[in-house]
Amino acid sequence: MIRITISNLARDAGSASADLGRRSLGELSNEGTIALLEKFRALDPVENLEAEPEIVLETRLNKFVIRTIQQRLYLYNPRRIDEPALKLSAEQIVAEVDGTAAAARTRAPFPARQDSTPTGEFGDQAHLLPAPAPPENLLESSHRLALAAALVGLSGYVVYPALLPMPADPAPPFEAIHDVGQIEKLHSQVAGVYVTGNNPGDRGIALAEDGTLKLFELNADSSPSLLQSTFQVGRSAGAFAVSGRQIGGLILPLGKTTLRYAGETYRRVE
Amino acid sequence: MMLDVLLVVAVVLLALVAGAVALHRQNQQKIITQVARDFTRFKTEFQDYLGKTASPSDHPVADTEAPRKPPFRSTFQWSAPTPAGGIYRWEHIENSTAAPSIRPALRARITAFAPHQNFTLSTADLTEIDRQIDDGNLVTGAFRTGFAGWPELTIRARP
Repeated sequence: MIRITISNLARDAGSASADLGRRSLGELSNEGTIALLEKFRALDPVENLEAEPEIVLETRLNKFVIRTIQQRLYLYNPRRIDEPALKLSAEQIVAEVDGTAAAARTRAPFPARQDSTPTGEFGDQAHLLPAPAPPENLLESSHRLALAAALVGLSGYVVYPALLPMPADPAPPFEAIHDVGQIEKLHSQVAGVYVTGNNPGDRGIALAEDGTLKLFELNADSSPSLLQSTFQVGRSAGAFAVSGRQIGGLILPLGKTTLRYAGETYRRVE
Repeated sequence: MMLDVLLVVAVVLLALVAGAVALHRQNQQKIITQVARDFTRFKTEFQDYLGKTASPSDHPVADTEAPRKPPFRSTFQWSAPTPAGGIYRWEHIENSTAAPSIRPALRARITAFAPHQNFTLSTADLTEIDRQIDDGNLVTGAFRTGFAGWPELTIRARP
């Protein structure tokens, strides 16, 4: 059943007048509604123009407004006033109102476009085409190709430094000793404080048996500047060597009291 | 359609990353150029000083050893941090360690002890500086990595 409300229209929809106002006709069957709409469609054009009558059809789920122009029926969705009217027959209108039309298709009728510009108030030249299917691809192939090229180019720009050969490590290859007993023995042998001199600006290395390393520089008016790290004992070019984290090179013991590091000779003081 | 969206998003994200990388590289290049310029300036100052006050056979420049000559003064702001972190230092080199040359020598270097320990130049950056002012090799020539891996430039009087 469809609930009917008429505006500026006689109860039988055979005539229209602006004086008639808005009235409810209660509920009608689909057949009764079709008959009413057919009568409405045949309304006198002059009365129609002056009174601007309309019929509101409602169900529990849908509400539509029907107007007639030049013997044609147009369906409007009052909830979607920005969408164009649909030119439909009385039967099609009832099918839209009771939902059978929506069930029979996968797309709603309203996402549609007009193929010509309406010339009258309701677009009497208008007839509707189905809404175009959403495009499979947003981009044209040339654009996609350009974006892919940009992607490759940008990736290359970001990663190319990693592909360049690294500058040669200034330190010669170092092979750490892993034997615990040997490490302890070498740690105790090499542990001590070594300096280049005892004037401001002279530098020193303090190696402890626990594997900690301190690099320091003597200052004129304050305590030495200090850099703390750890060290490993091992071999480099066949000789005993000490390597430390972030010290920029190997420390080479030269006998029991002397170290060579970064081009300078350090002598043991403790 | 989803592939297109992903492509656009990937390009935009990568463009942002590339922009950040470019900015970082530009800043790092500025630092490299500035440090190279500082070392060059210091070298020029020292060699100019030696040209006016010393002959190649003179003693190394040191107040105690060459009292008749004015001490070397640099226009550098030595206490200010370098663009790469750390601070510049300079020192005279004794003849024994400046071998085989007996020409007066001086070493300019960067140290990065606390509170200036945030030294930001990598080996690649230092190699680039070496390429600009010396032989491009950090284990040979006048510009090398020295104490704690920090750079140092040995400067001798012009022959």
